[in-house]
Amino acid sequence: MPTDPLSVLGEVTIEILERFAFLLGDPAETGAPPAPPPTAWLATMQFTGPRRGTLGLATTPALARQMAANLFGREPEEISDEEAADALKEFLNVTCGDYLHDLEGNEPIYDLSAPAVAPADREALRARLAGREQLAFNVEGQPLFVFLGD
Amino acid sequence: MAYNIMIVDDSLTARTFIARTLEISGVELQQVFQARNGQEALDLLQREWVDIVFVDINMPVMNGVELVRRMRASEVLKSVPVIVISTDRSAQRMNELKAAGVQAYLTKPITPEELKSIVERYLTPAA
Amino acid sequence: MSHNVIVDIAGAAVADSPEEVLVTYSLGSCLGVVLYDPVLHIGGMVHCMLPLSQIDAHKAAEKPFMFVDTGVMQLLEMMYKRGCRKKDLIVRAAGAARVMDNSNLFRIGERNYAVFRKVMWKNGLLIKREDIGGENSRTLRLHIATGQLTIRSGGVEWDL
Repeated sequence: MPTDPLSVLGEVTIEILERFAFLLGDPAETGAPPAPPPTAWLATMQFTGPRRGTLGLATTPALARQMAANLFGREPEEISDEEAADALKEFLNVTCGDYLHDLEGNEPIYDLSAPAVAPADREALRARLAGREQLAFNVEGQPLFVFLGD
Repeated sequence: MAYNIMIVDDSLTARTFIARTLEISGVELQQVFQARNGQEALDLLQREWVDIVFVDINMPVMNGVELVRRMRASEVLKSVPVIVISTDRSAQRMNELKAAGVQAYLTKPITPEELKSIVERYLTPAA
Repeated sequence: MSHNVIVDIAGAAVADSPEEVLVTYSLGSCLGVVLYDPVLHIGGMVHCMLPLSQIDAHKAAEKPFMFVDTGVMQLLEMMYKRGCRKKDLIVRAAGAARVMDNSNLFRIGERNYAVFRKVMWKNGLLIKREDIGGENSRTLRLHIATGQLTIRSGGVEWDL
């Protein structure tokens, strides 16, 4: 079982995509990460405990909508922006809980901030990802970036 | 028998998932009350009777731990079953809540089947 | 006298005669989904290989049971056409093993299972029993008269 944060995060992300959102994700091939989409939704939350930091993810509105459709048991066309953003936030929340648990076990207490979502254009997303520990996934044809920050 | 249930979570997605699971489980529902935090839940609980409460821990305004404490301190609400559904896995919080008298503690992500098996201990599905 | 009806890989069958037994062999990372209506005594079984049909639309049209998404949906349709009601259906599933070969790189078993859960949730069905994962291949037998489902794996047999 890996113990470095990024490897744990990679395994947790794929597992939560499957178990929570009913989506199949593949790690992007090393050296060939997907291009940031022209419009992305950026979701972030902070955790405070033995470790402190930010867990973030960025993806297309289309994937957020698909996620919500899967979770709500409806079609993507019927999903509002508000529902799609909420689904993305809850996905981040569940991923963060699982990530901290897999990294640290049951002992430490963490305080988690409420997840927030904001739109980001390609440049803003590039700037946000620059220099961060990050992973890229292909999720049923859509890009998903997951990153750790301060 | 039709039940009144309450779902307390700041995530619409989480509330919808729980509500849909109950529908699919064949539990006959009279009313499903939704609250986004502990305070909204307490306000509703002053006017409405519910048969079971599903509660998240990490919420703004009033979190789930405080909601459970207030419910257990109330003559009227102290025996209402409470099921915690949270991403929080810390053993200490789990023990605190169990000591405060919650019936079950599930960690997200939950499956509909897990939730159903818990619910069946407290609510009887329609024939 | 019982009569075996074999469900091939990427195949499915529905049966309603009490003497019939639906059988599928050697489920590795493949997923076997079994539906049973105890009111009408009708049973169905599908043996799916891969999670999503979108990877090969041509194949999916030709062999819908090859994929979990199209295969389980079609099996449900077949049951409904025979008059089964959703609320009576008992859903069981087995397979999705982590088969130790190159295909495990792609987590086929886990993915088959994830897509199966998606189809169930979308259709408002809950899984009654399951025997998922592990490393051994499984053989399933559904007895139409009773709904009994036996699994044979690693030289041991039990009921699901």
